[in-house]
Amino acid sequence: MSSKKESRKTDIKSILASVVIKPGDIPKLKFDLKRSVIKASTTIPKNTFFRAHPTHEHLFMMVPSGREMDSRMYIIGPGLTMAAHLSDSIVAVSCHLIVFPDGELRILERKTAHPGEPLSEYQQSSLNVVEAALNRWVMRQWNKRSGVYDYVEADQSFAPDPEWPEEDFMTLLEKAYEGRIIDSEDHPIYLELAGKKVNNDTD
Amino acid sequence: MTFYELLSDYYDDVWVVDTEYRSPDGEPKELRCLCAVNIFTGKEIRKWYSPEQKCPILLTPKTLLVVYSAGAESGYFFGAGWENRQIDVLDIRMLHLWILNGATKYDKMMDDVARDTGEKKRTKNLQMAARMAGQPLIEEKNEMRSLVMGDLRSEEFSDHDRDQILSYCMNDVKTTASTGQALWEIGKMERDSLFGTPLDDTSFLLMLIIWSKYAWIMGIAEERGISADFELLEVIKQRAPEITRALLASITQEIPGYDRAPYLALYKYLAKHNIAWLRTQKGNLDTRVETFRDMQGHGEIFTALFQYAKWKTTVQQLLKIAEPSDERLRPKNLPRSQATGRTTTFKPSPFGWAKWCRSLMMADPGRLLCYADYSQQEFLLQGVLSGDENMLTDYFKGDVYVAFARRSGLMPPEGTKQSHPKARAIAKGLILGLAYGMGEQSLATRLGCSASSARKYIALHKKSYAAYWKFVQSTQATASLSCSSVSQLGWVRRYYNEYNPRSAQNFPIQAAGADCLILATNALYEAGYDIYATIHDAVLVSLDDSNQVEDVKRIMTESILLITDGHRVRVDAELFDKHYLDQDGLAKLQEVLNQLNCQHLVPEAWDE
Repeated sequence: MSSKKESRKTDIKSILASVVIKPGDIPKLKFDLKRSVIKASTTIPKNTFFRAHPTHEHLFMMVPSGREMDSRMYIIGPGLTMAAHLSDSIVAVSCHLIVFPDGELRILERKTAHPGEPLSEYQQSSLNVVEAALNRWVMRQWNKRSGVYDYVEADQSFAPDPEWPEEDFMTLLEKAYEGRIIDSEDHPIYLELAGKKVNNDTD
Repeated sequence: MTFYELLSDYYDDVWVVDTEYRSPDGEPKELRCLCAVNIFTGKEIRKWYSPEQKCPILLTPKTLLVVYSAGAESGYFFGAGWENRQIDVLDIRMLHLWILNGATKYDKMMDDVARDTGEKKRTKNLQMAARMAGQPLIEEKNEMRSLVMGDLRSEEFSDHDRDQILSYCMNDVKTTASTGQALWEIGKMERDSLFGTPLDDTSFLLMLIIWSKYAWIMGIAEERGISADFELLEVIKQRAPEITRALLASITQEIPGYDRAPYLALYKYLAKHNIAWLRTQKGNLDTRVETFRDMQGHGEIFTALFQYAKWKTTVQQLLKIAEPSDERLRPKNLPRSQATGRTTTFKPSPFGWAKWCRSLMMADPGRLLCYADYSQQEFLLQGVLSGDENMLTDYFKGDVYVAFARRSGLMPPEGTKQSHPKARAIAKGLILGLAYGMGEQSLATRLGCSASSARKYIALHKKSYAAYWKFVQSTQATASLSCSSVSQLGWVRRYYNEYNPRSAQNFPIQAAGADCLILATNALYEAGYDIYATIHDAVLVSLDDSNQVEDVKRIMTESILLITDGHRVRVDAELFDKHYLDQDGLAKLQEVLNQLNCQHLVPEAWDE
């Protein structure tokens, strides 16, 4: 670090071309949905190979509905995450687009570690499976003895690389989480969690 | 890797710097002192200013200066004669603004700091940044500021005062250093929460350095100032009341009492003639200049009212101009202060004045003033960002308004600006209006047609540029769900509490425009040109001779190829050897000076 030495530092400006975000890489949605069946799932599928999309992954703040008959998680908009009545139940969830060999799409929900805490072995193993699925068809296997996920890779002849949908990730998410995006303080789940009266006309 | 460890990959020396100076209204800075700490070696510098002093920091291309508010510090370096075009700067304020842009979650904290520091409103300054970073407030800030700003020359300070100011300055250096580190970490969390955007540490660092260099250059532009015709200004200031009285007299004939109680007189007049007028939220008459402009079509008296409102605003601006001893205008620039990442210029802002007043600006003796602007840049950026081939094709045909009018059938394929001026005017109004997200009603007003005609024109635009409209939809959808938009150079707008589809539509184009201007300004400066001002999509630079114009145009085009995806944007340039002349404002300037019997003061255009 001493300035006395002859400088061998990289010139940071030389990387400018790779830094500017190309117009096509700016996150945006595309319309004309072709595939409509898409749902969200919290567990890595078993007994089937799958692939994970290389970039369609995003972290969202989510809350459980609090309803007895509804165990699903609800995405909560950034402007609403500061509400005191939600602070205990909010979790950061990674949503990742995956595809099965028959073309079925699914959003895989993975809870992440609390800020500042290391990943548990279990969380790390689930991350490993998804990371492996970025480039290869893999099937997860539960290793009972160690309590973590393992995976097996499909043979190269198993299936070609998946044809990902043209629609942008956000469009797919909107589809998968229809009615489950809390984007205002009037959302019934938001009101219920705050212990407020819900106008049933809007529910 | 920590912030400073990352910097050590690229720089031999990283100096955190702060300076103190007095900045009297419109005058060049009176320099007081500079303090700095070398982050790698721990070496400290405390220097009280003296005119013969050399720069105490060795400035090489491998030196990075870390500052809070590059625009302020660069003025000190320029004033002391230490200008170095090749150094890199990292402005913590740029990082601070990036974190705060639209992030309403920090509002309460900002209110708290404003209350604790006695500020009237939320201010984005080092105190506020330090609080975000968990640093204690600098208690003696106000007291020390008044000592620094005292009406003394640098050499007149007592040793005790100097010691106090130097300690205070060094304290700011250390606060800047620790705040920078902490804001970097906060910025990292904010980057992680962005949707799908690859903003890794190194990319983001380089983006910050690019924005910071621009802020540094704009600080130098402010300190250098723009030469101005203060003789002409004085004449206008002194004799403006004559024109004001004449304008008022013509209005008072029709609206009695307008010269004494204009609001009441207008109120009565409108009631008497049963004329509807735009109201404010409280129900009062809306008396903004824009309202007078929009009412112009209702008769001669409204045109006169508009002329008077415009004149009054202009005169008020001119009266506020400080008169520094060196007769230069020093507009203040706040880079990246707008949500779109564009620069705000104020006190004075010559390009915010009426066009005829801009002729107060002048070239320096023996030099040329060059106003170079990107031609129809926003249209090109719309095409580039959306990948709309029709838009790109139309841009490169030259006049995009004619190209669109032909494509959409508003004029025949052989039509021109001369043969079909009305169709071109519609095309122009439509393209500009839709870029800002105008709806049917406001477009109808702008184009002077019915709402149903406006609807038809919009449909023509949507048909001609279908890919662009898909892009608009997707941009809005992404912004509404991910609560943020990002520009190519990493500027981010968040929509936490105030999502507005029009802002979301407009952001990518405006932000790309801001990115372009930053890259072009940096490139021109590093190539040796003196930047005087930047204006939306233009720069005002000083040239030795007219041969340099082509070089300026080339640099402006080539420096932004990364943003335009390789497309070469056209650049227009105008040169002035004395007064800056805006062709649209020249007639008005002549009219004003004729009214004052000062025809001899009308500036002449440069005829090379």
